[in-house]
Amino acid sequence: MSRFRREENDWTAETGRRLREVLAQEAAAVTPSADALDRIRARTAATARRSFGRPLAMAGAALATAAVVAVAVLVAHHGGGRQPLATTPSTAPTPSAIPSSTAPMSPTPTPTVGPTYQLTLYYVGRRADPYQLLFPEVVNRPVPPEKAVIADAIRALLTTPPNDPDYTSYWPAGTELAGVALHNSTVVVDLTMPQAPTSAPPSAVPSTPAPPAGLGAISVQQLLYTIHGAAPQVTAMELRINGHDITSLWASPITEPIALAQPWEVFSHVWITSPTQGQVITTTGTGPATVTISGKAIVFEGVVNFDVQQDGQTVASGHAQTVGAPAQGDWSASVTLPPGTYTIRAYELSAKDGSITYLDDKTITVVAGSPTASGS
Amino acid sequence: MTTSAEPIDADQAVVALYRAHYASLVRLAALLVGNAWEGEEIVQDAFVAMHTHWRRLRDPDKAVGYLRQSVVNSCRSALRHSGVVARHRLEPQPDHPSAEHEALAAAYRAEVLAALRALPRRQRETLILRYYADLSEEEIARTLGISRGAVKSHTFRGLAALRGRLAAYPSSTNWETPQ
Repeated sequence: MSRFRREENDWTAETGRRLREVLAQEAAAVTPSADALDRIRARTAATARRSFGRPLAMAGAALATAAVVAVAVLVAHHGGGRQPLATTPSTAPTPSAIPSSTAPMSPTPTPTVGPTYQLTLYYVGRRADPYQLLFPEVVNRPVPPEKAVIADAIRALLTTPPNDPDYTSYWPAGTELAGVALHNSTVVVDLTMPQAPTSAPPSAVPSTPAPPAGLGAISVQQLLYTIHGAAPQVTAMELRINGHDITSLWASPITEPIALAQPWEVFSHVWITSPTQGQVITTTGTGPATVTISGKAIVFEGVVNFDVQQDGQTVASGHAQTVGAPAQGDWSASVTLPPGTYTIRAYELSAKDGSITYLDDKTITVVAGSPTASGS
Repeated sequence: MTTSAEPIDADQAVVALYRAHYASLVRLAALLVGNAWEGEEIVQDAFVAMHTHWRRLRDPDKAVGYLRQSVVNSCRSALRHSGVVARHRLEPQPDHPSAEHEALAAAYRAEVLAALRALPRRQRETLILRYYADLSEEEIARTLGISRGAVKSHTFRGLAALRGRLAAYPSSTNWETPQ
């Protein structure tokens, strides 16, 4: 380690050498902590989140390339013996890591903790009305290796329970991704599932009312829309379950390839995307908080109604204008709320009888912020 | 947007530079500031700052210089804030007390380090950058923002001040003067 330099003088050479020795011994006693990289990356990821477009854009570009050459996207399979759909050889040693196969990433395989990107997961509404339409939830995920964006999105969907208790996912626990391949705009997804997909719907499914589109049908759209969100060029899916092409899922007939449905067919009409369920909002200073409610809607004449409830009382209400159906438009509104717990509701009023339909709601808490920096 | 042959982004830079330099930077900081935990914090701060400024740095070599410089600067302010107390930090490692010569060596090291810490700041920094980090005069000059002549003279004076202390211990085989 010690690179000897020419010294003009004997005593400086000798003194320097001894000093070098002492410093090296002292330094050797210092053991840097093992998780330092994680801690640094957690801090830099906070920066990356503020301008998250970049990793996502990168991933998109990589996927576009993959699509052009119809190169398979490869994933590790948890199960072991199953054949991945892709032909690219892979010997991923860790089941949790997604091999990036030939991804030319520098400088070394990415560890599990690092910069994050935002991924939209779709869930199925639990309410009777709207029954079995999709709602989005945004999660932060570690940026996956370049060619594993789709696999990461699928895994995220299969393993992340919804934050909002009004949403659910019918993919049974234990459903795993065995392989995924991309051919132009069609993704081939190979899942393994503990039960046969042709049998009755999972017991978690309420028996009434009957699903309009069919439980399996909305679940495959849930999966496909989640993939489409991560990789926008994907507009169709071929789904294999336990190694077989499927013709039905939970009693819904499935025609492959499955095309991305129109948003107005599968999205619930009104979404609240901000604030999120359970969010805590801190007032600035001593006054009430100004809460911006925003979301998307596919509603008749573009009118979204909302209200804010506290202890069953309506404390604020109003409506917002967006573009009319069948387009999905953005809407937002602001309300001023003193500290307390509230339920923000947004919905469409039925053209038939004026009743509330397509409800989405979020429970939030407003807490008083201190005017000084020390309070919490 | 200019594209160099293989541009790496800030996240990749952090990982690459972490692997190559984190441990040695922590040790450098520990020597400068006198304790390991503060050294780690300082180096982590430097990495985060480098990530933030990556657009300006871009070049990994420049980034190493940047890291080193922020570490030296942060160690300086850390020492300023903690004052004299921190001066004598880095416990001498309680080596194997059974081995007498090792105990002796530890005591010797502690004395040398105490003497090092008692040096004027620039002399101390120069000696650590040269004899631990193994930087050239040029690199030391850049890191500390002083001239090469100043580096020479700080090195010389620092060594002169430590000479007696360093000579006090009988040479181990490693320290034998080569012919």
